[in-house]
Amino acid sequence: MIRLAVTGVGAISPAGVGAGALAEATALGRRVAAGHISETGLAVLRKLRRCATITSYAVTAVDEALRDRGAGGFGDYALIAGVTNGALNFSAGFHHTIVAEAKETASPALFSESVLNAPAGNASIVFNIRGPVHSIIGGPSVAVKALMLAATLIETGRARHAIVVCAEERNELSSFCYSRFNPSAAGALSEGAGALLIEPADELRPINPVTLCTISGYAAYTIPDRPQQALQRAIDGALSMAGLTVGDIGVAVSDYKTVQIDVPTLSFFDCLGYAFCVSTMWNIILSAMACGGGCPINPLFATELKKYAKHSEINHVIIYATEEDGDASAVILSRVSKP
Amino acid sequence: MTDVWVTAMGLVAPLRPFDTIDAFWDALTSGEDSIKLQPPPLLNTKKGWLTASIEIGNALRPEDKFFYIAGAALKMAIEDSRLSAEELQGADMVIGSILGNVLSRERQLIDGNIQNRTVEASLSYPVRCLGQRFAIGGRLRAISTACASGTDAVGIAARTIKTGEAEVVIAGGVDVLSDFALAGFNLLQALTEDKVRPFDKKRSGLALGEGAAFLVLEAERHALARGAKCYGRVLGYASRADASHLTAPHREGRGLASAITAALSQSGLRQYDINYINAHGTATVYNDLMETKAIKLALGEAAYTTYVSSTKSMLGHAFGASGVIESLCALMAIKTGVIPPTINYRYPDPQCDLNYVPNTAKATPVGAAMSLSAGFGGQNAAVIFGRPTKI
Repeated sequence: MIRLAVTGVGAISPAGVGAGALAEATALGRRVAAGHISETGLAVLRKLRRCATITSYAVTAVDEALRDRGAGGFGDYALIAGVTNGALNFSAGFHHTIVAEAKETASPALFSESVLNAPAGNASIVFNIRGPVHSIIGGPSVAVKALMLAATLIETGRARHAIVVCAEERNELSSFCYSRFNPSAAGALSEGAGALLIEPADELRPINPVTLCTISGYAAYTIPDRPQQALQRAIDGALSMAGLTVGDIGVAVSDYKTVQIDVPTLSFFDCLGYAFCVSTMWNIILSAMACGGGCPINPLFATELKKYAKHSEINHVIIYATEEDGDASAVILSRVSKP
Repeated sequence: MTDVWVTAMGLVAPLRPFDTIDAFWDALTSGEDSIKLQPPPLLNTKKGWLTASIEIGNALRPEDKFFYIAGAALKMAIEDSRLSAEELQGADMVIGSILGNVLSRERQLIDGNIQNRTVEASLSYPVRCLGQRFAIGGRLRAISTACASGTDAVGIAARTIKTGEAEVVIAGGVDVLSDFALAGFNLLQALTEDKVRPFDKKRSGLALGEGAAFLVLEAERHALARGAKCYGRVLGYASRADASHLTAPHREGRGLASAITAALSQSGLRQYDINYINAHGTATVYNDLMETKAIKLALGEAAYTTYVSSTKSMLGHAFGASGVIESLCALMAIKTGVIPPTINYRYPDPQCDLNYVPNTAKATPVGAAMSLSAGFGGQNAAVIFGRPTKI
């Protein structure tokens, strides 16, 4: 197995543009959830003036994750997108015009930009990514599944570098349905994107200063209607792949309400809100940044971790996600020694 | 890395009703055309559309069609595979789809009922439902790479086995006709009002179709251990992006040529070893020209001796299902030594100058066959199948 490293991150969230804004908001425990992101501030989006909101989020996050790589030169990169709902607003707009209003004409962009792979396709166009470009669809666990697919592409030599991006946009419909299913959490629906750049760690020797962490293990399972059991298998699978035990894990990060393993478990749900698969990606990004902080306890987690006395050092972080219907995944990120 | 066998197939597609893949193949290789002028699936409008649709009778509502055809095709594949319940529990499943159960969403919109719509709107919802119904207990994944979704599902499934992540992976593709898609492709001026004529000089666009197809992919040692039959082997697969335009293919076929070259390299075959290509062949002006250029770019002189046909001329374009349906056709061409025709072909296009198997099937031994797909987002995928291993 090739050891993989996270060498770039990017995000856009209600906290603002950039992974830094995400980290700052969560470190301070600031509640930033809810509300539309009105401005991405990304010049490259001028090329995509008619794109859906979700695409602008995806491109913004990918741009940040690739920023250290300069312009162009991404021909041998793979891009894997994780998506839950896709371009809800364009899709609803097109459906409404054609079906509900029975009109024969509508903007073609409402159709073409609403396909589920439009964020990935547009990102590949903007950054000239010509390797495998896939979109994998699902709930919160799909962020890890997308990462796993990217890892497989690198391990089998199909790509040398991979961008993994998750993006979501909210609209009236998703907000309404979310409030129906989660009445206590009404108003906490969020949106945005997160992206990771992953590469073989062993090609980066001596450890590149931009290496945030290595990816030690991952797994995904589906056991219909038994999310806890599926999650346990995913966690066990990720630990086994990493050659670690639960005792090696410094902290777990998840928005799943039931704590699954006996380690301090953090959730940024209250701070960032729920953005479907993007929430899991934000958890991965924050964990990667924490691992890359180079200090025993990164300030990023300090606010939350001060509740726990015994963990003075974090070497490994597990991020897990599951869904009520039994889809679950887990990934372990590990700290690397800096030169 | 282990060899990947295709050990079972299941299919529900247009053409006259069939119970077996062999019956479907007989109809297809006899050049049967399933494309007819038909009303839209749900909307009550005067306008008819040339489509290839599947009849489900009056007992079912149109919005039940997605699960009906997906369930029937998956059941056929599972029965064909003779996998035990325990083996299914350990199997993964990858399904490619573009729109999922879109008719359900349209019905709810027409009825003004938005309850549960977000749950059903997610493309992963039908994948999980099918997994639950057939007790498939491994990793379930929904892939959406536009019209390449089905081919990517097959390729990703094969790769999952090659890397040792799973012994059995069921790869499928499902999509149904919808008012949404008809209106969308109509706005893009991609639909024909004539016959579907892939690679013909007078080609004028595509006809939409629908269908569900599943292949059971298995590690060779696993298949051998349980005495499974083998329809063929997955020899190579690659996916490449055009990085050019969201809806139009790269004019020179850059991405598709790159995918063919990469899949060929992975398979260990030479350009002349590919006997048959089941083309994406939508019958749009740009796709067919791009695809011809891509095949010539990747295969060189061998392109002129390779049979290339478009089964979309008979089955229409079944979106995300088409890649799996056409993979199945490639496997059947290997099995039977018969290449399905490109029907409605009358006027050769000087720029599309390959052997497109016009109008009549061709009987010839097929040792290796390739299936190609391309789609929105600049997606391109190529998968290569070979004969079963001689044991």
